[in-house]
Amino acid sequence: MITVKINGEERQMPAKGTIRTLAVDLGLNPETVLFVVNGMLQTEDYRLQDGDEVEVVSVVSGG
Amino acid sequence: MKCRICGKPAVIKLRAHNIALCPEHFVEFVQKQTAKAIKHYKMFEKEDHIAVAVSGGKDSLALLDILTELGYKVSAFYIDLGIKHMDYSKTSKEKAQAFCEKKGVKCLVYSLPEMFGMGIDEAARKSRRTPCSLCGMTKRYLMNVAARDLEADVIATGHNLDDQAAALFANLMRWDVSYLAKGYPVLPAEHGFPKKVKPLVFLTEREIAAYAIVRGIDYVRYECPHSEGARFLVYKEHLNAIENMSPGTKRRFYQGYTENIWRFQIESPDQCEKKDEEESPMKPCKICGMPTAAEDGICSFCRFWRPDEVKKIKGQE
Repeated sequence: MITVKINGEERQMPAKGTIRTLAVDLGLNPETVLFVVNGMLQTEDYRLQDGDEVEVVSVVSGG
Repeated sequence: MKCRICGKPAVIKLRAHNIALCPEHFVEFVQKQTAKAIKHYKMFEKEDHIAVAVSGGKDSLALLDILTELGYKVSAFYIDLGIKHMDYSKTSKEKAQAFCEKKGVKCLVYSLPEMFGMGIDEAARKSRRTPCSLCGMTKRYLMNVAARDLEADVIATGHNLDDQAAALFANLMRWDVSYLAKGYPVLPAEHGFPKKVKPLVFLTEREIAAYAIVRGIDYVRYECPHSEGARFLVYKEHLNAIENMSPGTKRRFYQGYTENIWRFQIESPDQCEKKDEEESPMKPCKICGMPTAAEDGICSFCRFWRPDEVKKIKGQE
């Protein structure tokens, strides 16, 4: 298992987990979010590392 | 994942276009899509002066960035609605002004609290109107004032593909034919009002947010407190669920509509008759001089925000 920070909160994830698996775990539609890992925008195949800080950015606005 | 163009590590996958791109080529992609929309819908020319409505959010600041990078002559304006919840207006204004300064773009500010001593929330409470309806009327008016003050040829707003597709979806659900006739991303200049355009209509919210992040644009990440739970968001949620299953749906939905909009612009004999009865000529507002169709010659903005002056005018008549 690895520990990552998601929007400031620690979360345990299986080693070799990716952003895609994280999105599924969080129940997020990938069309509505972006993932910024350690300050860099990353694609869904990015393999999360122990200690990564992930910001889940919602992209939907109310208009 | 590798960039389709250069093979460097990609930062975003665009499923609707079946490509992944690195930061450099993603920025190029977004700017090209905007240039394509401007050309496709004949929004404006290189010599035109464009007034960009900036709100401090991702869309309007990205639009300002893209238009300046594409070499257009751009000015900006910000409408301060005086929303105090979570310092929403204060933060939005700071971010909008800071970005304009960074880009070397002139930014006019129209502040409701400074002009009228109260913000949109207090005004809505006093008048028992919803903040959103009051906000719409107020922003439409101040946009026209800004274009006049900036001597701009056209007003550009940051509406994106998701905004347009969601509005279309909502109007179709209601079969609101009058709105379906007006959903084109270009509103021509008429009755003394300037042309209004939406250059980001080929880009999704996700693409624009990614552009803002890649370009280091500091935008307001949280929402206007009044938009929470808005019905509009429900339409967006449904469209995004379909988009996730079938990438490119939003684009096909909206672009197909713009090609077929003429079908909604044909008026039935009943509508023509009604229109003839309803249409009254535009004249300058007796208070502010902006065009109005109101029979008493006082525009809806002045009627609401300048009641003392309305009383004075009415007293003289």
